[in-house]
Amino acid sequence: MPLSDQDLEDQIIRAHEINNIWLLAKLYADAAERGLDQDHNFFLATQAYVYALQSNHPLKSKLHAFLKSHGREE
Amino acid sequence: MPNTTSFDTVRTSVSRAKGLPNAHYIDPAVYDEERHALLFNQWAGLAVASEIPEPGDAIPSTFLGVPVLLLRDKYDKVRVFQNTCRHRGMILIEHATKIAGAIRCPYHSWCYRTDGRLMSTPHVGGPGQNTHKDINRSELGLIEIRSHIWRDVVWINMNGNAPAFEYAMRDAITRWSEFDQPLYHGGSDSQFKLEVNCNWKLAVENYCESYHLPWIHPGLNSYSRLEDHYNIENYGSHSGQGTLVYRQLFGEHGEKFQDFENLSEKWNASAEYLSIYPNVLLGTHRDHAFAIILIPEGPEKTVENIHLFYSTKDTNEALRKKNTDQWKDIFKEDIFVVEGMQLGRHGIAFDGGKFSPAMDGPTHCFHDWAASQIETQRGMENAAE
Ligand code: FES
Ligand SMILES: [Fe+2]
Repeated sequence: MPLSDQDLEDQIIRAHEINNIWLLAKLYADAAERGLDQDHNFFLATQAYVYALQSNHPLKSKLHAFLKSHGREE
Repeated sequence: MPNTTSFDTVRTSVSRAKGLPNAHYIDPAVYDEERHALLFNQWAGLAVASEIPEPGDAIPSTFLGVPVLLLRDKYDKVRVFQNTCRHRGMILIEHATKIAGAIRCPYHSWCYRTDGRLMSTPHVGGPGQNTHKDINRSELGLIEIRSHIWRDVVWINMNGNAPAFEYAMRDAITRWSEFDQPLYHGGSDSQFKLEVNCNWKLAVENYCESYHLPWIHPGLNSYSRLEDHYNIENYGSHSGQGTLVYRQLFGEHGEKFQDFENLSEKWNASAEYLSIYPNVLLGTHRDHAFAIILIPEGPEKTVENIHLFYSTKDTNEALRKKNTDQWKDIFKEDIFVVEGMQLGRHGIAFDGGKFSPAMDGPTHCFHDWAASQIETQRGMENAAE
Protein backbone atom coordinates (compact mmCIF):
# COMPACT_ATOMS: atom_id res chain seq x y z
CA MET A 1 0.00 0.00 0.00
CA PRO A 2 1.59 3.31 -1.04
CA LEU A 3 2.27 5.83 1.66
CA SER A 4 0.27 8.99 1.73
CA ASP A 5 2.39 12.14 1.46
CA GLN A 6 1.72 12.84 5.11
CA ASP A 7 3.30 9.51 6.04
CA LEU A 8 6.33 10.32 3.96
CA GLU A 9 6.64 13.75 5.47
CA ASP A 10 6.47 12.26 8.95
CA GLN A 11 9.16 9.77 8.06
CA ILE A 12 11.37 12.53 6.73
CA ILE A 13 10.93 14.56 9.89
CA ARG A 14 11.78 11.54 11.99
CA ALA A 15 14.87 10.84 9.89
CA HIS A 16 15.96 14.45 10.42
CA GLU A 17 15.43 14.06 14.15
CA ILE A 18 17.73 11.06 14.35
CA ASN A 19 20.05 12.55 11.73
CA ASN A 20 19.98 9.43 9.57
CA ILE A 21 21.57 10.76 6.42
CA TRP A 22 21.38 7.52 4.48
CA LEU A 23 17.66 7.27 5.14
CA LEU A 24 17.12 10.94 4.27
CA ALA A 25 18.67 10.34 0.87
CA LYS A 26 16.24 7.52 0.23
CA LEU A 27 13.15 9.28 1.59
CA TYR A 28 13.76 12.52 -0.29
CA ALA A 29 14.39 10.52 -3.44
CA ASP A 30 11.02 8.84 -2.96
CA ALA A 31 9.42 12.20 -2.33
CA ALA A 32 10.98 13.62 -5.49
CA GLU A 33 8.86 11.24 -7.50
CA ARG A 34 5.66 12.71 -6.20
CA GLY A 35 6.15 16.37 -5.43
CA LEU A 36 3.45 18.97 -5.93
CA ASP A 37 4.82 19.88 -9.33
CA GLN A 38 7.98 19.51 -11.33
CA ASP A 39 9.78 22.37 -9.57
CA HIS A 40 8.96 20.80 -6.27
CA ASN A 41 10.42 17.52 -7.54
CA PHE A 42 13.67 19.30 -8.39
CA PHE A 43 13.75 20.75 -4.92
CA LEU A 44 13.23 17.36 -3.31
CA ALA A 45 15.67 15.64 -5.66
CA THR A 46 18.27 18.23 -4.67
CA GLN A 47 17.72 17.43 -1.01
CA ALA A 48 18.07 13.74 -1.79
CA TYR A 49 21.17 14.32 -3.88
CA VAL A 50 22.96 16.23 -1.15
CA TYR A 51 22.26 13.58 1.47
CA ALA A 52 23.27 10.89 -1.01
CA LEU A 53 26.57 12.68 -1.61
CA GLN A 54 27.18 12.95 2.11
CA SER A 55 26.38 9.32 2.86
CA ASN A 56 27.79 7.93 -0.38
CA HIS A 57 24.37 6.44 -1.15
CA PRO A 58 24.15 4.62 -4.50
CA LEU A 59 21.19 6.84 -5.47
CA LYS A 60 23.61 9.72 -5.98
CA SER A 61 24.36 8.83 -9.62
CA LYS A 62 20.74 8.56 -10.58
CA LEU A 63 19.84 11.79 -8.82
CA HIS A 64 22.76 13.57 -10.39
CA ALA A 65 21.76 12.37 -13.85
CA PHE A 66 18.17 13.46 -13.27
CA LEU A 67 19.10 16.95 -12.08
CA LYS A 68 21.72 17.42 -14.73
CA SER A 69 19.45 16.37 -17.57
CA HIS A 70 17.10 19.16 -16.53
CA GLY A 71 19.85 21.76 -16.26
CA ARG A 72 19.69 21.75 -12.48
CA GLU A 73 23.13 20.44 -11.69
CA GLU A 74 26.59 20.50 -13.26
CA MET B 1 53.43 48.85 16.39
CA PRO B 2 53.60 47.18 19.81
CA ASN B 3 56.65 45.01 19.24
CA THR B 4 59.93 46.63 19.94
CA THR B 5 61.76 43.97 21.91
CA SER B 6 65.44 44.10 21.11
CA PHE B 7 67.59 41.17 20.08
CA ASP B 8 70.99 42.80 20.48
CA THR B 9 71.74 40.69 23.52
CA VAL B 10 70.21 37.55 22.00
CA ARG B 11 72.01 37.34 18.69
CA THR B 12 75.57 37.16 19.89
CA SER B 13 77.81 34.33 21.04
CA VAL B 14 76.43 32.04 23.72
CA SER B 15 79.10 33.19 26.17
CA ARG B 16 77.81 36.75 25.95
CA ALA B 17 74.16 36.28 25.02
CA LYS B 18 71.08 36.66 27.15
CA GLY B 19 67.89 34.71 26.67
CA LEU B 20 64.82 36.15 24.94
CA PRO B 21 63.22 38.99 26.89
CA ASN B 22 60.27 38.27 29.19
CA ALA B 23 57.78 39.75 26.74
CA HIS B 24 58.34 36.76 24.47
CA TYR B 25 56.80 34.54 27.08
CA ILE B 26 54.06 36.64 28.63
CA ASP B 27 53.00 39.49 26.33
CA PRO B 28 49.94 38.77 24.12
CA ALA B 29 51.16 41.24 21.47
CA VAL B 30 54.48 39.46 21.13
CA TYR B 31 52.70 36.10 21.16
CA ASP B 32 50.69 37.31 18.21
CA GLU B 33 53.79 38.50 16.40
CA GLU B 34 55.41 35.11 16.96
CA ARG B 35 52.28 33.33 15.79
CA HIS B 36 53.18 34.45 12.29
CA ALA B 37 56.95 34.77 12.47
CA LEU B 38 57.66 31.51 14.31
CA LEU B 39 54.70 29.30 13.50
CA PHE B 40 52.68 30.28 10.41
CA ASN B 41 55.72 31.18 8.32
CA GLN B 42 57.40 27.87 9.21
CA TRP B 43 56.77 24.17 8.92
CA ALA B 44 54.99 23.57 12.22
CA GLY B 45 53.78 20.25 13.57
CA LEU B 46 50.01 19.81 13.73
CA ALA B 47 49.35 16.12 14.43
CA VAL B 48 50.48 12.67 13.35
CA ALA B 49 49.18 10.92 10.26
CA SER B 50 48.48 7.76 12.28
CA GLU B 51 45.61 9.63 13.90
CA ILE B 52 43.74 9.37 10.61
CA PRO B 53 44.59 5.84 9.42
CA GLU B 54 41.79 5.34 6.90
CA PRO B 55 40.37 7.28 3.96
CA GLY B 56 37.61 9.58 5.18
CA ASP B 57 39.02 9.93 8.70
CA ALA B 58 38.81 13.58 9.65
CA ILE B 59 39.88 15.50 12.75
CA PRO B 60 39.06 19.16 13.23
CA SER B 61 41.14 21.27 15.57
CA THR B 62 42.24 24.81 16.21
CA PHE B 63 45.85 25.71 15.55
CA LEU B 64 46.86 29.08 16.99
CA GLY B 65 43.26 30.20 16.66
CA VAL B 66 42.80 28.98 13.09
CA PRO B 67 40.22 26.23 12.56
CA VAL B 68 41.84 23.41 10.61
CA LEU B 69 40.63 20.10 9.29
CA LEU B 70 43.06 17.21 9.06
CA LEU B 71 41.79 14.42 6.86
CA ARG B 72 42.78 11.48 4.74
CA ASP B 73 41.12 11.83 1.36
CA LYS B 74 39.58 8.95 -0.49
CA TYR B 75 42.77 8.52 -2.51
CA ASP B 76 44.67 8.00 0.77
CA LYS B 77 46.39 11.37 0.70
CA VAL B 78 46.65 13.30 3.96
CA ARG B 79 45.43 16.85 3.58
CA VAL B 80 44.90 19.84 5.83
CA PHE B 81 42.20 22.38 5.06
CA GLN B 82 40.93 25.49 6.66
CA ASN B 83 37.78 24.16 8.31
CA THR B 84 35.68 27.00 6.95
CA CYS B 85 32.96 26.82 4.30
CA ARG B 86 33.52 28.99 1.23
CA HIS B 87 29.91 30.19 1.32
CA ARG B 88 29.15 31.95 4.59
CA GLY B 89 32.14 30.79 6.56
CA MET B 90 30.48 28.14 8.67
CA ILE B 91 32.70 25.63 10.46
CA LEU B 92 32.42 22.51 8.34
CA ILE B 93 33.27 19.69 10.72
CA GLU B 94 32.89 20.08 14.43
CA HIS B 95 33.93 16.68 15.78
CA ALA B 96 36.29 13.95 14.67
CA THR B 97 34.40 11.80 12.19
CA LYS B 98 34.59 9.41 9.30
CA ILE B 99 33.44 11.02 6.08
CA ALA B 100 31.43 8.46 4.13
CA GLY B 101 30.99 10.47 0.96
CA ALA B 102 31.18 14.22 0.78
CA ILE B 103 31.80 16.91 3.37
CA ARG B 104 28.42 18.61 3.68
CA CYS B 105 28.37 22.02 5.26
CA PRO B 106 25.82 21.95 8.07
CA TYR B 107 24.47 25.40 7.15
CA HIS B 108 23.29 25.46 3.50
CA SER B 109 24.70 22.06 2.54
CA TRP B 110 27.34 22.98 0.01
CA CYS B 111 29.22 19.71 -0.53
CA TYR B 112 32.96 19.23 -0.92
CA ARG B 113 34.93 16.19 -1.98
CA THR B 114 37.53 14.92 0.47
CA ASP B 115 40.20 16.39 -1.82
CA GLY B 116 38.61 19.79 -1.27
CA ARG B 117 36.81 20.30 -4.57
CA LEU B 118 33.36 21.85 -4.33
CA MET B 119 30.91 19.34 -5.81
CA SER B 120 27.44 20.69 -5.17
CA THR B 121 25.80 23.97 -4.30
CA PRO B 122 22.17 23.10 -3.58
CA HIS B 123 19.53 25.70 -4.45
CA VAL B 124 22.24 28.23 -5.22
CA GLY B 125 20.29 29.48 -8.24
CA GLY B 126 16.95 29.27 -6.41
CA PRO B 127 14.96 26.28 -5.12
CA GLY B 128 15.83 23.13 -7.03
CA GLN B 129 18.36 24.98 -9.20
CA ASN B 130 21.84 24.01 -8.11
CA THR B 131 23.91 26.04 -10.51
CA HIS B 132 24.30 29.72 -11.24
CA LYS B 133 26.45 31.48 -13.78
CA ASP B 134 28.23 33.43 -11.05
CA ILE B 135 29.06 30.36 -8.98
CA ASN B 136 32.26 28.90 -10.35
CA ARG B 137 32.81 25.73 -8.39
CA SER B 138 36.38 25.30 -9.55
CA GLU B 139 37.28 28.52 -7.73
CA LEU B 140 35.44 27.65 -4.55
CA GLY B 141 37.11 24.54 -3.24
CA LEU B 142 38.26 24.31 0.35
CA ILE B 143 41.32 26.35 1.19
CA GLU B 144 44.12 23.86 1.52
CA ILE B 145 46.99 24.45 3.92
CA ARG B 146 50.36 23.33 2.66
CA SER B 147 51.34 20.12 4.43
CA HIS B 148 54.06 17.51 4.46
CA ILE B 149 54.59 14.26 6.34
CA TRP B 150 57.91 13.35 7.86
CA ARG B 151 58.37 10.78 10.62
CA ASP B 152 54.58 10.47 10.69
CA VAL B 153 54.27 14.10 11.81
CA VAL B 154 51.96 16.24 9.71
CA TRP B 155 53.79 19.54 9.27
CA ILE B 156 51.92 22.57 8.02
CA ASN B 157 53.03 25.88 6.58
CA MET B 158 49.98 28.01 7.29
CA ASN B 159 51.15 31.07 5.38
CA GLY B 160 52.32 29.02 2.40
CA ASN B 161 55.60 30.92 2.21
CA ALA B 162 58.23 28.55 3.62
CA PRO B 163 60.85 26.87 1.43
CA ALA B 164 60.08 23.28 0.39
CA PHE B 165 59.99 21.00 3.42
CA GLU B 166 62.88 18.82 2.25
CA TYR B 167 65.00 21.92 1.89
CA ALA B 168 63.95 23.62 5.11
CA MET B 169 64.54 20.44 7.12
CA ARG B 170 67.46 19.06 5.12
CA ASP B 171 69.95 19.05 7.98
CA ALA B 172 67.72 17.11 10.36
CA ILE B 173 66.62 14.75 7.58
CA THR B 174 70.25 14.03 6.72
CA ARG B 175 71.26 13.64 10.34
CA TRP B 176 68.66 10.92 10.84
CA SER B 177 68.72 9.45 7.34
CA GLU B 178 69.43 5.99 8.77
CA PHE B 179 66.04 6.14 10.44
CA ASP B 180 64.32 6.98 7.20
CA GLN B 181 62.22 3.82 7.32
CA PRO B 182 58.65 2.93 8.24
CA LEU B 183 57.48 4.00 11.69
CA TYR B 184 54.57 2.17 13.29
CA HIS B 185 52.51 4.04 15.83
CA GLY B 186 52.10 1.96 18.99
CA GLY B 187 48.34 2.68 19.06
CA SER B 188 46.09 3.99 21.77
CA ASP B 189 48.40 2.99 24.63
CA SER B 190 51.27 4.82 22.96
CA GLN B 191 49.95 8.33 22.97
CA PHE B 192 49.13 10.82 25.66
CA LYS B 193 48.60 14.48 26.22
CA LEU B 194 50.02 16.84 28.82
CA GLU B 195 48.72 20.33 29.47
CA VAL B 196 51.28 22.73 30.79
CA ASN B 197 51.01 26.32 31.98
CA CYS B 198 53.89 27.76 30.04
CA ASN B 199 54.76 29.40 26.78
CA TRP B 200 55.44 26.78 24.11
CA LYS B 201 59.03 27.96 23.69
CA LEU B 202 59.93 26.92 27.22
CA ALA B 203 58.99 23.35 26.35
CA VAL B 204 61.29 23.53 23.32
CA GLU B 205 64.10 24.98 25.39
CA ASN B 206 63.84 22.48 28.21
CA TYR B 207 63.74 19.59 25.77
CA CYS B 208 66.86 20.50 23.87
CA GLU B 209 69.24 20.73 26.82
CA SER B 210 70.79 18.00 28.93
CA TYR B 211 71.98 20.33 31.70
CA HIS B 212 68.89 19.60 33.78
CA LEU B 213 69.01 15.80 33.56
CA PRO B 214 70.79 15.00 36.84
CA TRP B 215 68.49 17.30 38.80
CA ILE B 216 65.13 16.75 37.20
CA HIS B 217 65.47 13.16 36.02
CA PRO B 218 67.58 11.45 38.70
CA GLY B 219 66.09 8.13 37.59
CA LEU B 220 67.54 8.53 34.12
CA ASN B 221 70.75 9.80 35.56
CA SER B 222 71.59 6.54 37.29
CA TYR B 223 72.73 5.23 33.93
CA SER B 224 72.91 8.39 31.93
CA ARG B 225 75.60 10.64 33.35
CA LEU B 226 75.87 14.19 32.18
CA GLU B 227 79.20 13.55 30.48
CA ASP B 228 77.58 10.81 28.41
CA HIS B 229 75.55 13.48 26.62
CA TYR B 230 76.50 15.78 23.80
CA ASN B 231 74.96 18.96 22.45
CA ILE B 232 73.51 19.28 18.97
CA GLU B 233 73.42 22.81 17.60
CA ASN B 234 72.29 23.32 14.05
CA TYR B 235 71.81 27.06 13.69
CA GLY B 236 68.67 27.93 11.76
CA SER B 237 66.71 24.72 12.13
CA HIS B 238 67.16 22.48 15.16
CA SER B 239 69.08 21.74 18.31
CA GLY B 240 69.09 19.10 20.95
CA GLN B 241 71.10 16.47 22.68
CA GLY B 242 72.43 13.00 22.18
CA THR B 243 73.34 10.25 24.60
CA LEU B 244 76.11 7.70 24.26
CA VAL B 245 74.68 5.27 26.75
CA TYR B 246 71.18 4.40 25.58
CA ARG B 247 70.01 1.14 27.07
CA GLN B 248 67.12 -0.75 25.62
CA LEU B 249 64.07 -1.55 27.66
CA PHE B 250 63.60 -5.22 28.52
CA GLY B 251 60.48 -7.04 29.65
CA GLU B 252 60.27 -9.47 32.53
CA HIS B 253 61.33 -12.36 30.34
CA GLY B 254 63.97 -10.52 28.37
CA GLU B 255 61.60 -9.33 25.62
CA LYS B 256 62.69 -6.28 23.70
CA PHE B 257 61.56 -4.22 20.76
CA GLN B 258 62.93 -5.01 17.34
CA ASP B 259 65.61 -2.64 16.08
CA PHE B 260 65.15 -0.47 13.03
CA GLU B 261 66.90 -2.05 10.09
CA ASN B 262 70.50 -1.64 8.99
CA LEU B 263 71.53 0.91 11.58
CA SER B 264 75.22 1.62 11.89
CA GLU B 265 77.02 0.55 15.04
CA LYS B 266 76.94 4.05 16.42
CA TRP B 267 73.27 3.59 17.27
CA ASN B 268 73.83 0.53 19.45
CA ALA B 269 74.23 2.78 22.44
CA SER B 270 73.32 6.21 21.09
CA ALA B 271 70.01 8.03 21.01
CA GLU B 272 69.20 11.55 19.99
CA TYR B 273 66.61 14.13 20.91
CA LEU B 274 65.97 17.06 18.62
CA SER B 275 63.85 20.16 18.97
CA ILE B 276 62.85 20.77 15.38
CA TYR B 277 61.93 24.44 15.19
CA PRO B 278 59.37 25.61 15.82
CA ASN B 279 57.27 23.14 17.77
CA VAL B 280 58.15 19.48 17.26
CA LEU B 281 60.30 17.51 19.67
CA LEU B 282 61.58 14.23 18.28
CA GLY B 283 63.48 11.37 19.81
CA THR B 284 65.01 8.35 18.14
CA HIS B 285 66.60 5.17 19.45
CA ARG B 286 67.61 1.88 17.86
CA ASP B 287 64.26 0.32 18.76
CA HIS B 288 61.69 3.09 19.11
CA ALA B 289 61.02 6.75 18.44
CA PHE B 290 58.66 9.42 19.63
CA ALA B 291 57.26 12.77 18.60
CA ILE B 292 55.98 15.52 20.85
CA ILE B 293 53.90 18.13 19.10
CA LEU B 294 53.50 21.36 21.01
CA ILE B 295 50.21 23.14 20.43
CA PRO B 296 50.37 26.69 21.78
CA GLU B 297 47.08 27.71 23.36
CA GLY B 298 47.98 31.20 24.51
CA PRO B 299 51.10 33.00 25.75
CA GLU B 300 51.14 30.90 28.91
CA LYS B 301 49.47 27.65 27.94
CA THR B 302 50.63 24.72 25.83
CA VAL B 303 49.31 21.28 25.05
CA GLU B 304 51.89 18.56 24.43
CA ASN B 305 50.71 15.66 22.28
CA ILE B 306 53.04 12.70 22.59
CA HIS B 307 53.19 9.69 20.24
CA LEU B 308 55.46 6.64 20.38
CA PHE B 309 56.57 4.60 17.37
CA TYR B 310 58.21 1.26 16.70
CA SER B 311 59.99 -0.50 13.87
CA THR B 312 57.31 -3.17 13.47
CA LYS B 313 53.56 -3.21 13.28
CA ASP B 314 53.18 -5.69 16.11
CA THR B 315 54.93 -5.17 19.40
CA ASN B 316 54.68 -6.69 22.85
CA GLU B 317 51.81 -4.97 24.60
CA ALA B 318 53.17 -5.08 28.13
CA LEU B 319 56.53 -3.80 27.01
CA ARG B 320 54.93 -1.08 24.95
CA LYS B 321 52.91 0.09 27.94
CA LYS B 322 55.99 0.00 30.12
CA ASN B 323 57.78 2.19 27.61
CA THR B 324 54.89 4.65 27.44
CA ASP B 325 54.78 4.84 31.23
CA GLN B 326 58.50 5.39 31.48
CA TRP B 327 58.41 8.31 29.05
CA LYS B 328 55.29 9.73 30.62
CA ASP B 329 57.03 9.81 33.99
CA ILE B 330 60.02 11.59 32.48
CA PHE B 331 57.95 14.18 30.64
CA LYS B 332 55.88 14.80 33.75
CA GLU B 333 59.05 15.46 35.70
CA ASP B 334 59.68 18.38 33.36
CA ILE B 335 56.34 20.07 33.97
CA PHE B 336 57.25 21.88 37.17
CA VAL B 337 60.33 23.42 35.59
CA VAL B 338 58.66 24.73 32.46
CA GLU B 339 55.82 26.09 34.59
CA GLY B 340 58.31 27.49 37.07
CA MET B 341 60.29 29.23 34.32
CA GLN B 342 57.01 30.68 33.05
CA LEU B 343 56.24 32.16 36.46
CA GLY B 344 59.83 33.36 36.72
CA ARG B 345 59.37 35.42 33.58
CA HIS B 346 56.90 37.63 35.40
CA GLY B 347 59.87 38.82 37.45
CA ILE B 348 60.09 42.24 35.85
CA ALA B 349 63.83 42.61 36.37
CA PHE B 350 64.67 39.25 34.80
CA ASP B 351 66.89 40.00 31.83
CA GLY B 352 66.47 36.83 29.77
CA GLY B 353 69.02 34.96 31.83
CA LYS B 354 72.72 34.17 31.68
CA PHE B 355 73.59 31.04 29.72
CA SER B 356 76.10 28.39 30.62
CA PRO B 357 78.45 28.63 27.63
CA ALA B 358 79.17 24.91 27.93
CA MET B 359 75.68 23.57 28.54
CA ASP B 360 73.15 26.02 27.10
CA GLY B 361 74.26 26.14 23.48
CA PRO B 362 71.18 24.29 22.20
CA THR B 363 68.86 26.76 23.94
CA HIS B 364 70.80 29.72 22.60
CA CYS B 365 70.64 28.17 19.14
CA PHE B 366 66.84 28.17 19.39
CA HIS B 367 66.74 31.78 20.58
CA ASP B 368 69.02 32.83 17.76
CA TRP B 369 66.66 31.21 15.28
CA ALA B 370 63.58 32.75 16.90
CA ALA B 371 65.14 36.22 16.94
CA SER B 372 66.24 35.93 13.31
CA GLN B 373 62.77 34.89 12.18
CA ILE B 374 61.11 37.74 14.07
CA GLU B 375 63.64 40.20 12.69
CA THR B 376 62.94 38.96 9.17
CA GLN B 377 59.25 39.50 9.66
CA ARG B 378 59.72 42.97 11.14
CA GLY B 379 61.96 43.81 8.21
CA MET B 380 59.26 42.80 5.77
CA GLU B 381 56.66 44.82 7.63
CA ASN B 382 58.85 47.89 7.64
CA ALA B 383 59.58 47.47 3.95
CA ALA B 384 55.85 47.34 3.28
CA GLU B 385 55.13 50.53 5.19
S1 FES C 1 27.92 28.47 5.01
FE1 FES C 1 28.40 26.56 4.18
S2 FES C 1 26.80 26.25 2.79
FE2 FES C 1 26.36 28.18 3.57
FE1 LIG D 1 63.64 16.80 30.77
